[in-house]
Amino acid sequence: MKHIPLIFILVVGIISCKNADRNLRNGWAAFDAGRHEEAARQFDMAIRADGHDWNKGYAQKCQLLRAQYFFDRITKAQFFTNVRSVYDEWFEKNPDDTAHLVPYAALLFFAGDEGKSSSLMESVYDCQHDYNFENPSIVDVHNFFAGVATGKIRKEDFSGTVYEFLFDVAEDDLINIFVGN
Amino acid sequence: MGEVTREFAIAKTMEILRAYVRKIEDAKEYFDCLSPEGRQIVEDYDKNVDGQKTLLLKASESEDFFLGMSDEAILAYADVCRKMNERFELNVKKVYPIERLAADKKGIWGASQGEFNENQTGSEIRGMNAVTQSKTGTEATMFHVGKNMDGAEFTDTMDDNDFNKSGEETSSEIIENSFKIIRQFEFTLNCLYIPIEGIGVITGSLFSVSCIFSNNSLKLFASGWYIGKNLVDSYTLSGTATLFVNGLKSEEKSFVLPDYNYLSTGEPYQTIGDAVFSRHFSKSDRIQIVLNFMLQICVDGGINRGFYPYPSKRISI
Repeated sequence: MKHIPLIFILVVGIISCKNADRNLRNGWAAFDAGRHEEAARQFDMAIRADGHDWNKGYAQKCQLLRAQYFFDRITKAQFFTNVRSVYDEWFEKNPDDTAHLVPYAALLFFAGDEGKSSSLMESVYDCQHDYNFENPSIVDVHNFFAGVATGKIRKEDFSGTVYEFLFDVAEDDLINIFVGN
Repeated sequence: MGEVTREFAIAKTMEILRAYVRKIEDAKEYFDCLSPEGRQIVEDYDKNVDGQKTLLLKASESEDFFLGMSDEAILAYADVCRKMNERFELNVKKVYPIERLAADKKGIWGASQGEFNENQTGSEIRGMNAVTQSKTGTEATMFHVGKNMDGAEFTDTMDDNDFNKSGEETSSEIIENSFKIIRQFEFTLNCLYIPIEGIGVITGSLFSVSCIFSNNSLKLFASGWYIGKNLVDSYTLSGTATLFVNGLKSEEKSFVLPDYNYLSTGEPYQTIGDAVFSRHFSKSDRIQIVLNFMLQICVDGGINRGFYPYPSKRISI
């Protein structure tokens, strides 16, 4: 009998996962059909079905907003506001997550909240980080950018490396790289 | 729209097929200047993929190929060839839609010579003009096998205008005022950073944009190849073209997938679409197009997607 709750949790978990996946597929189908509001609704349902996996609704909502922004369907201000609400919801449910702090901090910087952005970058940056110079991972790039943003990494120390490009990137490119990713 | 004899339909079909074969053979001489789709067509022909070269040569050289063929099949061949004539700009004259085949009597186009009967009603001829004028992006795609890919070519537009209501050629004034410039652009654009499965990927796409610029339209056809395609489940390229005339922004169009599909298989290139600007141009106009392309990648079986814009590309025509 003691296994029943666990089985119940697992079954509910599996059903939730399947529901979330179905919502995500329905969402992209709606997006393909040009029904962006329905797509957003489906991604919201995926978030409600799980809530603790960035790739179950949060990432999709952000990508939907990126697509809308890049296709000029929403303004930059709307884009920032809406993506910020996705991050806010994520960190509300997942306060210990650090994987998305750098994109969030970048967004806050562009949205004008430089103080909070700076403190987040400071909290994320690891000066002992061991960088991969062949195939930089997202963690590498995030940490490096946090170092650049806080002035703790010097350009000359990384000249000629794959990370050099992050020193001279235009605002639009930084948005492309970080916001919603 | 018309009735012709079986013999005439076959003769015209063979004439178009011969012109098509000639075009492909000629295209080998400027293969490097061809678009990816054009190269694919030439390569497939050369390698006799699906026996297409054998069939083409047989059909274009001997009437025996059509022996025993039903009228419906002949009509289907004639219709396909008529479209090929338009879209590949094969310049075979006096080619019109055929509605039915006459047994052995003269049709409205004449049985023995296959010439257009000048007593044809104006409405049908206007219909023909409408068909010609409604060629939107299709024409833009077809000159992939055409010449002068890397330069400007001024031609008259006899094909489009050589029939007026009386079935006669248009005046020389109209011809002189018409022009056509065909150009092909190939370039690479890079996204700075694309996160895929935890890895940051910096890979670009190769783009190919074809332009047909005439006195009354500018037609663009774009295709692209995401070099990192093996890293993702699938990808889609989309984009917009913004027209600038003499430095002033005129209009923006999205590239729209065409309703024909036979040029969409120019692997590894993927069709992005057509963008057509219809307005009056003069040869002295300074035309620039700003192209904005977007990459959409799909991973995790399509559950996750990412959208990445490429930097703008400006081209002058």
